[in-house]
Amino acid sequence: MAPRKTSLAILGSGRMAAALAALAARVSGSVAVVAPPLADAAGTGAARFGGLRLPKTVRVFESLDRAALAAPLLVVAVPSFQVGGIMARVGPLLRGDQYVVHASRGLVGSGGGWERPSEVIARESCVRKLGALAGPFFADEVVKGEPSSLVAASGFREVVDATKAALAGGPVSLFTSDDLCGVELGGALGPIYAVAVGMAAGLGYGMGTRAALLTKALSEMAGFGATGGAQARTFSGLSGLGDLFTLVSVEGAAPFRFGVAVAGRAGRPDEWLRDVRIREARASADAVRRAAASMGVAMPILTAVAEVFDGARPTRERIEALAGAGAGRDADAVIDPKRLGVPLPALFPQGGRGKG
Amino acid sequence: MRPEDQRRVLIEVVSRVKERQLAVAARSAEAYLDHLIHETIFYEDERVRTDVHSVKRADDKAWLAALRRRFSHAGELEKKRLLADIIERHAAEILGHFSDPVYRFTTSVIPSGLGVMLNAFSPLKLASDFPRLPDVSGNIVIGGRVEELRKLEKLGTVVLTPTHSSNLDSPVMGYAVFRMGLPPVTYGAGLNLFQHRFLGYFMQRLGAYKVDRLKKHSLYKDVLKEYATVTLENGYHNLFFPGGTRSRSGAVEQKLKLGLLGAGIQAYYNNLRGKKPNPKIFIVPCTINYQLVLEAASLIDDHLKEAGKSRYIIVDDEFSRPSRIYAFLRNLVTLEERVHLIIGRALDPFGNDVDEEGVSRDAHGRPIDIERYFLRGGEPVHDADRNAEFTRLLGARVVDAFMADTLVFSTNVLAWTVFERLRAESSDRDFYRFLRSAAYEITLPMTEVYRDVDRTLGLVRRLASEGRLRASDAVAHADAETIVAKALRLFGCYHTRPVLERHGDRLFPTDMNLLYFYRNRLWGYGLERMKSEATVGAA
Repeated sequence: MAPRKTSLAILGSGRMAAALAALAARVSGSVAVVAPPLADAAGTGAARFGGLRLPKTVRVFESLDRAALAAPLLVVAVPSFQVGGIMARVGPLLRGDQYVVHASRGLVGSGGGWERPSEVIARESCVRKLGALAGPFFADEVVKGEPSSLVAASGFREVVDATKAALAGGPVSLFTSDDLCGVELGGALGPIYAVAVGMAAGLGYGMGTRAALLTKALSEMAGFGATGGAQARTFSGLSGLGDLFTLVSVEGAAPFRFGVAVAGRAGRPDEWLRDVRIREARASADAVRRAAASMGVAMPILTAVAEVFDGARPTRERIEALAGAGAGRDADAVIDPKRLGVPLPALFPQGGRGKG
Repeated sequence: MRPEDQRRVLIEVVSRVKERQLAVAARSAEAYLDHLIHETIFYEDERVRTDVHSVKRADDKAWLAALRRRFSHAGELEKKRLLADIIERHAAEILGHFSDPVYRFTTSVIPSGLGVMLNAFSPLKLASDFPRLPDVSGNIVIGGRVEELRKLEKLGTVVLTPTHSSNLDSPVMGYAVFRMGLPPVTYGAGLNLFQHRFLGYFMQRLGAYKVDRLKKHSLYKDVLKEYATVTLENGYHNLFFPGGTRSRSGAVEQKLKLGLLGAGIQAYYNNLRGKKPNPKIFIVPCTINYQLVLEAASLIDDHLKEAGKSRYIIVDDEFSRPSRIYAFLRNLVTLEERVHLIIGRALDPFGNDVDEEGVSRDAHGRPIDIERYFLRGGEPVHDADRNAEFTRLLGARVVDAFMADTLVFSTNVLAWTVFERLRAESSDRDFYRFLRSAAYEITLPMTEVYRDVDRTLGLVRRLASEGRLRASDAVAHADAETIVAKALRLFGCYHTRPVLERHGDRLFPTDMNLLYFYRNRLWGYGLERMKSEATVGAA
């Protein structure tokens, strides 16, 4: 009997992989989940597929099944720190006509700098038609069939169309963007700023202070993103503001709870670092802090969170300095994207392509 | 374009553009043809009004008036005729010509003739070389992946994409192509260059096709891109400067014009569909590197005024003054300086590396079946949006190659060092005020200059060892004092005002704009960060 042709393959064994599989099974034809053991699975602490059950129509492979991986659309749903490892194994099996979309939220450290997950995938394979999924997407809600929204981003229209055809439908709205860089950065940076807002909450500050931090956070994200080629307006969308708003509104979101927990305490609660999202946020914060410093881009909120990840103690004075600073300092924190094309030093430092 | 190919290429270009535009019009719910012709009239009207230097101004005005008259009464059939007329007019203007006799003359006589003329100022050199005639070709050094290029030229069609600093780049590339034993290339050159008294004669006959950067309407750009595509499909190697114009700031190009660069992927697709032998297209980034730039003063002036960036075409600069060209070339010869052309690693139209066998490879050296990039549902599909995105990826790789293959000279090292030192010492936060005042306010002790240059050399050599740029022989090996002496000699020999001057034991900045220009060649490498990290480390 000829093997079934898979229309969509999902690579991963966590909650995100399970949720996407459940979503796709309702919409598409043949869906496969490829869930091989991953090298850096230790410390994630989660049960396979996060304890979620997959629909019976979804085929699960525990090794790198070549037929499954030959699907026209492959979704990589692993934490960002596992993207390099899994793509080193899967990359040689892929072809140039395939579409690969990732759902990772974080930046991947590389040789003193950092890469976005799509850049890692491009490096480890011949695939160029790449995209990313981001946005306030909660696995539990999706599996239950509750309304959700996602953004699919790619410079290739056909990638976005294929992703929409595979995942959009029913209660899930799938928005599209051509700004892959911006969506990836928004997804990676949002949790860092959610930590900052959590810190403010943990120190007893109210909604006004948190809103001030949120507003400045968006400015920092957009400014940094613009130096890397992202469009500033992307950060006002689902993967920027939408995601960040959700992360600071939902009391159960890990980055926010981490911020609350560390507020006012000395050192860092090491048990938090086993959480995938905190690990990703920490790695992203460190990488972006170094890159921003090299470019002379001021990111005071991100820097404060990175220092907390390193063991510094968040204080009321620091929160007030970040949320309530005068206009002069705030203006310095914002990069005017209109000036970025001209290498004028002094007032408008810029670092080319934002990699440090 | 050889005479025997001209008519066929012209017909092909006109037919394709016409068919494409009519197909879009047929699919469009709105009055697409009206929009297209309106846009042409609008932008051409603006251009004709403002381009007072154009030799074709009267003819263009008459043509535009006739177009406007015809359009005002046009029915659908007449609009299609108007479309065809516009396309034909643009294609005929763009079409390049090639003359074998002129090419032979240019490549054999001019380098020696120039050499004799210029070396008249150096009788000793003339005497020492006798009976061999000196020529400027000794001053053009070609390095990088030359052998690879020679092999690829036989396996497919090549698109050379050099950096662009000076109007001398075109003759340098033309001569280099000859020196490497490659067939002549076809290349787009600004329309203003065809009006140059001396150069124009050769531009008309050496394969250049005309690019009018003042024409803004989409139909013209479509014709231009199709022309480049058809020439590639016909096996004509191409050359164009993806930066579009000379770098005003002196920095390595970071933003490219992707229109013509996209001709490669379209030509490859058409070659595959037409089952042509040797269908592959290879994009070869190269860098042209000068110790001094002929038009530096005008370019940096324009950059600082931000007077239109790429929209502004400098008509009257050093290149239009024979005395400046002569002075520049004389210094090139008498100082035994070199223009360095570095041939970079070839890329395919999708931005992948290509080896010397013409095989595309991924980052791990694995071969890639690039034909699959055109497939959708197992079948090859034409998709303009897809091609545009691939071309954007290719552009990013070309920029990477430009940065890695840029050759850094003593002039750049000294300029960067001194400029950054002056900036650190200045309390002025306004950049333009700093440029105006620094020359009058700050001088530097030579001992500190040597110390700072030594630090810069360390940073640049580190970048060179990481493959992020290339260092000239002097920058790679000489000590700070030698570098400073060499750079000061060069800075004092060509520009109207010396960029920097040494008096006694102090260094005086004399022309901050030019200092900034030569400093900008090192922009984009993160040198500022490396310097501050080194300072923190030392502390």
